[in-house]
This record gives sequence, C-alpha cells and structure tokens, in this order.
Amino acid sequence: MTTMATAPAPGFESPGVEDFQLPPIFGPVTKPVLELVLAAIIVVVLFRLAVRKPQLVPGKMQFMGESFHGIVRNSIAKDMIGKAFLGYVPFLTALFAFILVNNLFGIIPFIQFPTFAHPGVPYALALVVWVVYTWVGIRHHGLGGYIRISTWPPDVPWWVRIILTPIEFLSNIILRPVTLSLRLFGNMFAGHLLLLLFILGGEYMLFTADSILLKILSPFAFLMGIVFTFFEAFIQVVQAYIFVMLTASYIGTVLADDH
Amino acid sequence: MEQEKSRDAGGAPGRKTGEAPPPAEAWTALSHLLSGILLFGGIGWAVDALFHLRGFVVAGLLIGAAASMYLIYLRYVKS
Repeated sequence: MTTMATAPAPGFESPGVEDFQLPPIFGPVTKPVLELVLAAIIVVVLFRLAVRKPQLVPGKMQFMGESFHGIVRNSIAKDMIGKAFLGYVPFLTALFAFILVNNLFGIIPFIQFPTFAHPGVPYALALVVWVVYTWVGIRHHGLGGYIRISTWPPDVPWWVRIILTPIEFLSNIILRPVTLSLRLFGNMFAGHLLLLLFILGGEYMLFTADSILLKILSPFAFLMGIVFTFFEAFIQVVQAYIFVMLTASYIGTVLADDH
Repeated sequence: MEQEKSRDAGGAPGRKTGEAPPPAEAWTALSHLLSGILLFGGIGWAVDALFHLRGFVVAGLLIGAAASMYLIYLRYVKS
C-alpha cells in the first residue's frame, strides 16, 4: 500500500508473528495461560450446571450437556474405538469441550485470541493425547506388543523390514503427535492472522491512510472481517472435532486386535 | 443391534493389526510418506555432509519415497 499523497502517511504494517508473542501480564503469566485456566473453569462449571439436578425429562442445560456428550459418544467414540469405547468417552468429551472453548475464544469479544494459535499450547495438548494412547496401547498389548503393532509390517522379508520399520516408528510414534498439534496450531494461527489483517487493514484505511478512496473502501475490509469471523467460528468447531476424532482413532488403532 | 455386535468384536469389522479407522487412514498414509522421505533423505544428506560426497541425498529421497509407498501398500491395500 504505497502512499501517493503529498504528506505521506506511515505505510501499513501488516500483522505478523510478533502479534502472537503476547507480553506477560504478571510474572510468567500471559494471556493464553489465563485463557487456558478460564476455559477449564467454563467447561467444569457448564457441565456441573448441566447435571446439577438430573431429571428424566431434561431441562435446557441438561439437554445441551447430554447432546454434547451424545455427539462425542455416538459419532466419535463408538465409530473410532469400537469395543470398550465407553471408558474413553469422558476423556474425549472433556477434550472436545476444552478445545472448543479455547478455539471460540478467538472470536469472543474482548478475549479474541484463540489459545492454540500460540505454538506451545497445542504441543502440550498433543503430548497429553500421546501419553494417553501410548499408555492404552502398552496396557492392552504390553510394551513389546505395542511396539510390534506400531512398527512391524506383517508378511515381509527381513531386509524390507530394516527399511520399513524405521519409517513406521518415526511416523507412528514420533510424528503422530506433531502432526496432530500442527494441524490445530496452523488453523488457529492462520485464522487469527486473517482476522487481524482485515480489521487492522480496515482501521488503517479509515484512519491513517491519506487517500480518500481508501477511506471510502474501508467498510469492505471491515465487512470481510465480519464474514471471516463467521467462517472462523466454523473452522474452530471443525478443528476441535477433528482433533478429538483423530485422538479417538489413535486410541482405536492401539486397541485393534489380531483376530 | 447386529451392527453393534460386529463393532464390539475388536474395533470395526475386518480391521487388522495397527490399522487406523477410515478417516485417520489418510492422515497416517500422509505421515508415512513424509516420514520415509524425511528419514532416508536425512540419512542421505548426512552421508553427503560427513564424507563430502554428492548424490546420496537424492538417492535417499527416492528410496524413502518408494519405501513409504510400499509401506502404505502393505498396510492399506494388501491387508
């Protein structure tokens, strides 16, 4: 956006990575840290309210809580895990609710930062998931059995196995949590950057730029900002769903038996 | 009810050892492909860098890609 007027206004500085490095509020506590705590509180309080007085004919809160639980139970856990899916439903439900609230923080006024757009946060979450499905796998098959189903392709000669086993080990045991977290991080990061670009760009066009044409066109930038806010809401729900679905499928994978 | 039962018998019907359920298969296949290329490309690059050679990185990338594709074939097509 070059300045054409006689008294040049400062050029537009596009938002970048530095907008995600938020300063500490007190001590080592930053905005994402507070958001994580807030999200945990919101999830706990909402579910407590939902089951406070359970009734046969559910009230509004109970109905919403049960519907949420039902989605995770029937369309994620049952399909992905198969036998013994019931034990994992509480973990998956909590995970879904927690990620969903954190993602939606990206478009809630005055919070407006999706927690998982900060790269450290999704890595920690994926680490939790990795520990869970690794533990489930080792408990079900034993350590040797877990390593075997994860890295031992069946019915191949030994020299092929020398090549393939390191690939499967890298892919299944090391890269799986990395891709899980990168997918969530990338989507949240890109979405937040997009909103920043439209809103800050519109603000620049309206208040800072010299050109009258840019001032006239600035409502379109804000309009795009609003359109993409709704789009982001959709992405945030979908990404929370995908994260939980893949978590469930990894648990299902380590539970799969030979017969 | 019948479907419920077949699911209870060890994951989805017909699923083999270490096999991911359908939507995760695509991500696993992609992950295998990248892993093979990264691993053997990396080994090739390391050989080149250590012994001041050329060409091992290309060979490594090709071997890695071929091995990954064979692995995906073994896991998802043959079984």
